[in-house]
Amino acid sequence: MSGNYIKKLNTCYEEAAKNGELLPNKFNLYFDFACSLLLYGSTISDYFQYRFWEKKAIVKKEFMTARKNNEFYAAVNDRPARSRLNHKAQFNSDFRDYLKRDTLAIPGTDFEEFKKFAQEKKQFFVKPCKLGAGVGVTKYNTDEIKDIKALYDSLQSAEYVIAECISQDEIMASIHPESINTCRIITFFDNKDVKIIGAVMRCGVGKSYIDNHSAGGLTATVDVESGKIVSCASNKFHMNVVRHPDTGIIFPGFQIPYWDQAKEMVLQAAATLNGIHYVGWDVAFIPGGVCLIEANPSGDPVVLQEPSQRGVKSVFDKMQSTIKQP
Amino acid sequence: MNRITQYLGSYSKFDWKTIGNGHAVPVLLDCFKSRLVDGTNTEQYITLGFYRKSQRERNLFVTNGKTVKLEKISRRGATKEELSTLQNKRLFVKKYAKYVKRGSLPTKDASAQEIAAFIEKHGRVLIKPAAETQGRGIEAADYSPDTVMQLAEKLAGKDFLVEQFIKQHPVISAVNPSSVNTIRICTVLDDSHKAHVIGAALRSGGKDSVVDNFHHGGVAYPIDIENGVICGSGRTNSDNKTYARHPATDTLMIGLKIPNWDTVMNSVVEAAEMSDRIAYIGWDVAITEEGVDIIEANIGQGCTMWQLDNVGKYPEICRLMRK
Repeated sequence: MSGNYIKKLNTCYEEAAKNGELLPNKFNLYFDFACSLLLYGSTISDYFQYRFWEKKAIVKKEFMTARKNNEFYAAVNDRPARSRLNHKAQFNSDFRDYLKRDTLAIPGTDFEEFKKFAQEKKQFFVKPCKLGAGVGVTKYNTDEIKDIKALYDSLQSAEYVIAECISQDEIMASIHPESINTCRIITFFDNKDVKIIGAVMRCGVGKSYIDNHSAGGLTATVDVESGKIVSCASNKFHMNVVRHPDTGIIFPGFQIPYWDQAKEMVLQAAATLNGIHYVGWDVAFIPGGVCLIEANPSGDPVVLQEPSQRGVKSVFDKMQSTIKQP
Repeated sequence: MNRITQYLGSYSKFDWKTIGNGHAVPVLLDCFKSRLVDGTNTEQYITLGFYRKSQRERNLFVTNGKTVKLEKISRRGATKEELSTLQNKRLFVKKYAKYVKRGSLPTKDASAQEIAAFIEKHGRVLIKPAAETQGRGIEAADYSPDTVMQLAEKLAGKDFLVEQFIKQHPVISAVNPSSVNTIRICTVLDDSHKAHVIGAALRSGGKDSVVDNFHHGGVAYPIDIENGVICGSGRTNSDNKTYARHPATDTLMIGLKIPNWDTVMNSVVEAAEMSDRIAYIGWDVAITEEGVDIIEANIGQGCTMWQLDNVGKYPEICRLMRK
């Protein structure tokens, strides 16, 4: 296991160096990484996406890292409720009124239904039920599928959701037309009412059709009140991105459409939950309104911390302190 | 005594205990260390977030101490004449007349009648001591038939500049209507006398202030020079807060597109290349509906504002500026 760790550290170091980062020498960095892991619970991803090699201890302390995330989620979200919300098929069932698109679940769909769906929709997404971060998400064009039965059979080994492709609102599409560009809106229930505590816009780059940060998508902070983007964008490789590299859309000041509707929807959805205080809702934008893609009761706060390079531990601590455990 | 009170005053502005996460002494000591090692003053240490930066990051930023070195290089070979032309507001508007679109009357050689007529013509004017900096001594005056002659007689023969109040572009005016909200933009000349823009910031006055200077309670917002867009929250020189919205008008500032940005960039580059030797200049530019109006040039400039985008510009300036 330590061999893999060193390999991953090495890869991240090389990648950062290739991107022109002024890094300390490998030994110093690895030593600093080890100390940060011990003291702050930061994983390799945390260390690099928050540029810990540059940061002083006083600043590292402010970040939510993997270890602190786990502690936080365990404190504010019940495990069974969390599993249910994380499971894409169960989510689709519980929140079917918010999806605004047709979905199927495997198991639970026979071949004829699957074939009819594929033929009607012409394009669809297949997503593993229990994975996150865009892992395993595949987009299919029905015309390009050589053997639809073989595809159906290949999906029987695990749990999947099949979702019709969203027709994206043209303003959001203008950021990067190849991907569905969503907003993650984070709600917190402090035992009195549900509040929105932060929001980010995510978009794909290049040929990618997913917008996830872990897939190299760009993230920018959204002002909760106005729905305007109020930061430059960033991803794993670049900071301070003012314009989208493919479309040239300027991020700071970009107005997210149907923002009030989006806020209303997530507040309504959050109010239906039991045992869950903290959720990051993935909201997509369709002509005339909004719809839910999924909920993340244990999503990585990297989207809140990376664009600004400022930690949100104080915000999370405050949230946690409002929850009084019996 | 004055300097000591000023020095102590700069410390008392900030809440050191909060800045130091509950411990004031370590961060105060670090601030003092940074003063010696990096050349920052207290305000810069806080506003540029040095208390959060490792030495590696601090080295990338221009500080007051480093600016002194840059200014020395910039003035190498410059004549007293060239220096005066840039420093004295009256001489400046004469040389750079192409970029000074507002009505402007030096009072040194003007009669009281001429001054009174000028104020009457423009209605609202700014009175600026020609040799002062940092917004010191600037006052606004409105025309009133009862008091105009008295004012004009006070100014006649003295080294002031009476200027038409600039009618700024509505987008910029909306930020803070009581002041002309100008852009500070830094240029350097390279070895081949070509000018490069290093960074820029929009400065807007505090509520009801007529001046926007950073050292006079204004809020400064970093501008992305490639796209002419405000790309970050604003800062002041006197507290440790960030201002995504302007405190006077509650306008959301981040993402604000600066009108006529191409004209701004072209004008300061052209103006910078009009220098003989002075290589490092901070231009104050106002945006009007018709274009731009260069207010003045600063050869001794603060370096905090155009680094508020949190990108240190020292390596770039060292690389570009003529030796």
